[in-house]
Amino acid sequence: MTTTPGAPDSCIVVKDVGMDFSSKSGTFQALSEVSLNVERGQFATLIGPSGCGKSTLLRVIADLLQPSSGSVSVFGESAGQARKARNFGFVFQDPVLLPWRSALSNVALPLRVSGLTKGEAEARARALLDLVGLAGFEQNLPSTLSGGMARRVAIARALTLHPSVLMLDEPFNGLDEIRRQNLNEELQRVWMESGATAILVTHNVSEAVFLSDRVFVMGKGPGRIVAELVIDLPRPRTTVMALEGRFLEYVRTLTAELTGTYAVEDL
Amino acid sequence: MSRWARVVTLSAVYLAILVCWQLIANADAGPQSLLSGPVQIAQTIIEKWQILLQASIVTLTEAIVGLFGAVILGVTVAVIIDAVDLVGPTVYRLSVILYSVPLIALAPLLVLWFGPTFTARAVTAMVASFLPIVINTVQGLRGAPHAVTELGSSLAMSRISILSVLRFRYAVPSFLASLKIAGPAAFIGAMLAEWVNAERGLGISLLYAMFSFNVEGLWSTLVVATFWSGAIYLMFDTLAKRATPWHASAGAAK
Repeated sequence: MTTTPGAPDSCIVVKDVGMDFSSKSGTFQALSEVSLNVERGQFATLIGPSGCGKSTLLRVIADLLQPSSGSVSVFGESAGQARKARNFGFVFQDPVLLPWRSALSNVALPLRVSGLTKGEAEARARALLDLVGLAGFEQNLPSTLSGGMARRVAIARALTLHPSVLMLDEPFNGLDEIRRQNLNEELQRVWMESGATAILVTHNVSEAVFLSDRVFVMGKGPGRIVAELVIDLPRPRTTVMALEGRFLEYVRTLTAELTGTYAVEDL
Repeated sequence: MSRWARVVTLSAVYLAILVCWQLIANADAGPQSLLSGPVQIAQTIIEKWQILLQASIVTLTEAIVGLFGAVILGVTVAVIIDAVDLVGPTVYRLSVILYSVPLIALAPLLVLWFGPTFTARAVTAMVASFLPIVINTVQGLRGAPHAVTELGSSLAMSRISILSVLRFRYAVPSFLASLKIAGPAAFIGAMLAEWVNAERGLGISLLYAMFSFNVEGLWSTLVVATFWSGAIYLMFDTLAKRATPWHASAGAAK
């Protein structure tokens, strides 16, 4: 097990990652020299304008994309080894629930894939649906669930294998403010229970402050990290806290940093 | 319009067509008449039901075996087109070329290859029906969201299990829809094959009836063949709706 000097308890170490996409019209540099550390058990967030490569960076860490340069390690292993050991739980922008499977069966999928019997898998899936507040909806098909419920199912599915890293790619995109806040509280709760390290991609400032221990602000052209902010607020954080002085101070600081990353054409 | 009103209107239209048909046939009646009325056709079908049923069984068997082959060939080709970037486009072009060969030209060639056999007729039915299966299955596989592949990948699933467990199910509705086209096409292919190579079957019955100037025989065979073609379509239509109830409501998925 290797550790990076100065980061003894690092869970995720991203070092000088660059990502180029080539197409007929030329090469697009999505990420350039991105380095970051996330400590074990922390909640980290990548925030930035559209096109800054935050989703790409998350996919590189998850080993869903191979970086053009640089390296990623997760608990001293390569991202590929960690993925193959099923250490990652990924929540996508769309919930991507399989439409022919019930909520229960969707949550049980990762367990079935890893070789559990149907009975064992469904027992664990039932407990997870209960955890995300969906007891009683086990047999519902995805088409009969609301947008918020479908996202809860997606989070439950990502947690079934007790992942050491939970990755969330704008998981609450498109939900209204009240439902988003409600799901953020739920997410904080299940994440704290899971003990996993989490990385969230978002462009919502108050969501970033509410959930994170540490926020990486990304800029674009090419995608890179321009600022890092530590959010030192007690947990569990509540909706009431989100309306108070220190929280709002963080929101103000982060908004200022983020605004700096928007070019004229983004506004 | 209420369901009841629709049923009445439709029945009235069909009845009117049948009555007109019968009136024209009656006016044209005589030994040289080329038009049989619905009553005569029904009489012939009732009289010759055993012969027509035997012929139907022969042709249906050829069509079913051909369609079965088309499903295996079509799905295999679709998976290759989807999974192997290098040869996919070439395989696709070859499929289109094979499908573009006129069946009436291909059927005699198949007789040369396989002899005047059941195999030659079933292969004709297969060639007549496999391309819609290929096209729809490829389309269905490609219609699976990219995030589904990423989901499988994040769970360390192999490419094969991502295809078989996750993506293939997304292709099932369009695969079943293709059978609505491929099923009747296989039936027509089987009938056509009988024209060049058969002793029994609906296709060869048509030919015999034509040569013996048996107008009622022609009409009754035509009606029976149309019935089977339609029945195959309806069967797959029902199957598609029953087998993928989640698909109809999938539009509401969040």
